[in-house]
Amino acid sequence: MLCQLFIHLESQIKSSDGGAGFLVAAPEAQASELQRFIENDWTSSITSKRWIGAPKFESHSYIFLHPGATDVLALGAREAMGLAAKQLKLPDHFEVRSFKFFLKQSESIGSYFNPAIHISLASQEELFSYISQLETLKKEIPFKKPSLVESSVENLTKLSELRNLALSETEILKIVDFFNSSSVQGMRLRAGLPSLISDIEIELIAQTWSEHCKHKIFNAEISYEERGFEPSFKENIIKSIFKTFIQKPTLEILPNKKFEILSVFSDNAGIVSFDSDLSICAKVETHNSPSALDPYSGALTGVLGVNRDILGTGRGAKPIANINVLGFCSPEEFPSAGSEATPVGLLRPEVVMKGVHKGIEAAGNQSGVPTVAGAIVFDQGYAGKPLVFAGSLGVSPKVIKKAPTHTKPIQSGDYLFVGGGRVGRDGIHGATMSSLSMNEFTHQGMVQLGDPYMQKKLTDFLLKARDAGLYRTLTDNGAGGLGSSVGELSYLAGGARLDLAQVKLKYSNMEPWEILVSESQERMTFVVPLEFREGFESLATSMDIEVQCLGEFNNSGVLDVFWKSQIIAQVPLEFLHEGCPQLKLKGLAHPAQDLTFYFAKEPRRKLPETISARSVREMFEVLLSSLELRSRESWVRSFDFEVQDTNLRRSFSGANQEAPMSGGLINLEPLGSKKRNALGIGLGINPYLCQFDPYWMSMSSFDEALRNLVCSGVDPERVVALDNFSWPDPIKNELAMGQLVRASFGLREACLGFQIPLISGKDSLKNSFQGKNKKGEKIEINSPGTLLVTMIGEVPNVDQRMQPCPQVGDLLYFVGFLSPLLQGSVFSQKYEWTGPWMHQDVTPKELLHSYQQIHQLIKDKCFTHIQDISEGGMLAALFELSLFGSFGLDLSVDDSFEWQNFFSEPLGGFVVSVKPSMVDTFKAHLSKTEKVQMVHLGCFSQSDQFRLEVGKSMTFTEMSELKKIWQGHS
Amino acid sequence: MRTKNFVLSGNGLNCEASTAAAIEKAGGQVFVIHIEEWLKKPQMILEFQSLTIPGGFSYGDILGSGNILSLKIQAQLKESLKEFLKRGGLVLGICNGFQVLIRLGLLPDQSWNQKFALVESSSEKFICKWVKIKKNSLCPSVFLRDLPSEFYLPIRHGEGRLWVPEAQTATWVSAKQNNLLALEYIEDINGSRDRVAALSDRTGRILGLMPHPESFIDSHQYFDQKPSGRPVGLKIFENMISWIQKERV
Repeated sequence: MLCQLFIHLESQIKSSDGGAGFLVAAPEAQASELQRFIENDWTSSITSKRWIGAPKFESHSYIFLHPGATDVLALGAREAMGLAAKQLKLPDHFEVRSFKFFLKQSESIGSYFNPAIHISLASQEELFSYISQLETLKKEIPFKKPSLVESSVENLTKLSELRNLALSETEILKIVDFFNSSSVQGMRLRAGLPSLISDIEIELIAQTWSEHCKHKIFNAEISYEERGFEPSFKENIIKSIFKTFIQKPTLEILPNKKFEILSVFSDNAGIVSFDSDLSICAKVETHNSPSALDPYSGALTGVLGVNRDILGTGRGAKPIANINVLGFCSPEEFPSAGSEATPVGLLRPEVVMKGVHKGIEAAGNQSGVPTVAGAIVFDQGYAGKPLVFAGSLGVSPKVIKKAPTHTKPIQSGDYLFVGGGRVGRDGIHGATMSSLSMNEFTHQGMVQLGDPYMQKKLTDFLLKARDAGLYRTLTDNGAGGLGSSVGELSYLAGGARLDLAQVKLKYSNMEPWEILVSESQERMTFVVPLEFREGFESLATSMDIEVQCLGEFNNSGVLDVFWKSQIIAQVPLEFLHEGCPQLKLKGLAHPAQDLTFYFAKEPRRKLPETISARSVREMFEVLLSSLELRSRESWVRSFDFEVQDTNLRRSFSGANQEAPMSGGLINLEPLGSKKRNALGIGLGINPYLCQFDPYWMSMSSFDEALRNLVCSGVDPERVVALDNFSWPDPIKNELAMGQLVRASFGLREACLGFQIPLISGKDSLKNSFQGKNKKGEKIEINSPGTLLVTMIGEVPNVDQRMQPCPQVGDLLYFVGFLSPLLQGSVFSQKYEWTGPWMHQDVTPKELLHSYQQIHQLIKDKCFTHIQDISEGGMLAALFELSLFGSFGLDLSVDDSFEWQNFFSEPLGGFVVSVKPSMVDTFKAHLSKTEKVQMVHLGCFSQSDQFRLEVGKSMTFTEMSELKKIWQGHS
Repeated sequence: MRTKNFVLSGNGLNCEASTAAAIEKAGGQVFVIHIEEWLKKPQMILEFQSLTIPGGFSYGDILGSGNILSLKIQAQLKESLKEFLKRGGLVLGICNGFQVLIRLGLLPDQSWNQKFALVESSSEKFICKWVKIKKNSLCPSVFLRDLPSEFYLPIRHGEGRLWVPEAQTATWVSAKQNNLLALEYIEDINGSRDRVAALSDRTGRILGLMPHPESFIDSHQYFDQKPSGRPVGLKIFENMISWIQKERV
């Protein structure tokens, strides 16, 4: 008989309209002792008031997590009670669930409650029903044979729809043919399997063939037509976007690079090496779909998931830095709560932003990985699914115990282990779900919840086991769960036997197929040689990590799935990994597509009639106050960018720590490099250009990421890149497909021109929402085509990195390639500026040449500060430059200076500050470089004044006023 | 003399590597030991001359920062830790470690009864920033000797605001009179009582602080461009090592 304790915790520090609590079901005999422990010791009595008693349904709302969901708080509470159990000799098994309670009229409920993960209980009856669901989950079900279906198109189509498997007609046909073939039927007979196909097999194939795992669109054959673009792509059939635009240029470039590129496109992340000690890996993922459903958990699991990609790269790497690039609909433009235009089933942008922010904070801060760089873009198209790119860098020694760490060797007979968190029903079908568009009914059981504490424990264990050589290799359990991790490793090995009955579960009531595809987080799959099994298991125990041996690898060519001694599924690996039929798609690209707005937008401002210094300043102030440019300091300060203590370039720096710095810079020496080098991070994203020409969006993003790196002191010839596409569904949308091809073409030209290889990439191509608004009208919201370019590069000597040291009197220059073109700029979104679409007349080769010269000048300590020109343009960059030293700006240009140059965002543009004594050196050095312009703009001044002269007109304001506008205080 | 220093790790702590590097750089020999290992052999602490509990989120900070780790120490390690202190061992708690020392009641008075608390900042936000700190020059702490009177160190916490309950006013007054308020933020950064950033006990051998000294052991790590003198963080660890050497703990 179990006794229920209802524990309420309320803050003693501040008055609040509710609190947290725990529901504990403990054996009756011990409940009173446990109650005593909880009342006396359990939490600090200074900070919290505890009381045990029946819920007060009449006055309060009680919010629980869905019965099957991971309850991180409850796990911790259980740990503390387990401790009591040891003290008080209580048995260690009682059920704990956490909850929150609020006064019924509390306004906090609305922002906290999310039906995708929460359930609200309002009466004793509902509480009983909740508890009985918990008990049902705990009931051991007798082994349930997998459902079997006759392998026919009709049956499989039904199953695919029922379970959201996202299998296409062609794919179903292929599966049917394969399973009905006499060779497969013969194999099944010999293995003791029925001739009918089981749901386990279908699930495994569907996860492996999902768009998320297989990148079918990037490998599709595309018939492509393009009109009116310059430069044009002339081929009409593209065999595969991946091979044509990503793999081919990379393979062409690799032999020219003077550093090692150890692994591209095969492992979890690309692996490179800039020195003789360390290998570096990098990976960026999207987590748009989960973040749309539950922004906190979506972002949290996005970050922890990409960290596990790093942990699972090669023989395992340590995550050393996180990045995040985000896109939202502006909260000001999303229809107000009462409006009929409000989409049904979408969270409001401010709720999404808050949740994503909290999720990134919890993931990085708690698992001890610094969040070193990021960006936020705004577009109404992100109202359907937000843009959530989570990226991570990792390091590993190149060699451990005399074996290289970047390969994944597996021997027949090696044990198959999993370790980390237990498996539950959370996150089932994540891989296939993200391969579908979202609608207002999108399945709620698909949200995965993350546990950064478990992840940190797993990380500690994994790295220790790696250094002791206790496993041969490993991979993470991400989308597709065990099915995907074991599926991949068994393909490398040549076969495997997997016993699902050995998997430790959060609750017993799960069917085999659920165990196979569950995406419960914080788990890794390990390959353990026979002789190290014992050592591996005992290290795990000593570090409080659960591991289970699920079978072994072999060379049978198939993945055999068992339940104890009984075989329940078999899939030939060649078919599983190579059998997916190629898609055939159409793409059409042409310029001048109309801008898409889903909601009413504030009209853009009219340009002033005459341009004077004063009107330039006023326009600049409008930009500074915009959501796009506003200071992100309060957003960023919640992220721990210091932990691990290797970050040399903080997001906000300078005398008052308020000057934004692009990118991050990781000191590699404390991580084991003997070269005294550092690793820079650069990011480039510009979705606003996609509507004009996706080619130039790619070029601009690529160039921006590289300029970030140049500003840190990275050698532009020691750089690699990652490409991440986030796109509206291109399958039924020829224009989206056309844009995707055109963007990929631009990416290829950028890679070849800059001679920078792509080492890893990912695509998320289902960023559409189909649903209704409150009025009942059908709506479709597509995210803009978005390419994120992430670059990493080496500063060969940390002493030669860019160390800003600006002084009053330093002269300010524009350096690079001026362009008055404003399309795609932040300015063009705020002001009615319409010119014909034109692209800047500069090549990657010319740009690269100028960056090499600038790099040399940084090494020679010629500049006291340098900033690349990006969102907002030249004035915004100068403003940021001056913030570093808290100086005034004294700017002056003559009449020949085109005003658009203050706001345009050209390729190849920088602003620099130079000591007067170094000006001649700097000019002499750069004058040799073709087409590079140097424009003297003014100097830093002592006063708190922003002073601008344009020809004969002059204006000034206080810098502190501009700062207030920019920080959102005015 | 090589000193033997114990740095606690595992179960959510996450600054053990930097902390170990700092002690090593200060000349001490470091052993990074997992909580589970210590729990198995409580007496092992007696082989060491210092214990550092580094920053992080022990047990996910569930049920209050540092709470579960404190419960474990209280339940299983209290006697050995008392013996360690009796023999003159030093204890340093950084960030989450400070939260643990307060929760245990080792600070401010080694009473093993919690007197104060470190609670959520008044801004209700986690903050990562280098902040200016003032030293209490009359504080008996051995960790703070010869430190400049003002310096910068980074903080990164959401729960670092010192809270003194009404009932503990006398303890607070006594802590103040005995100069146990070791460090003070120049600006109010988190709502901490009297802007306290660190506390010492009366022996000077236990220090808890919210800022991270292990994050500033090399001039490269400084937040601003200006080269500074000896990194302040390193100096705190050097004080720890030289005190052990001098006193032959």
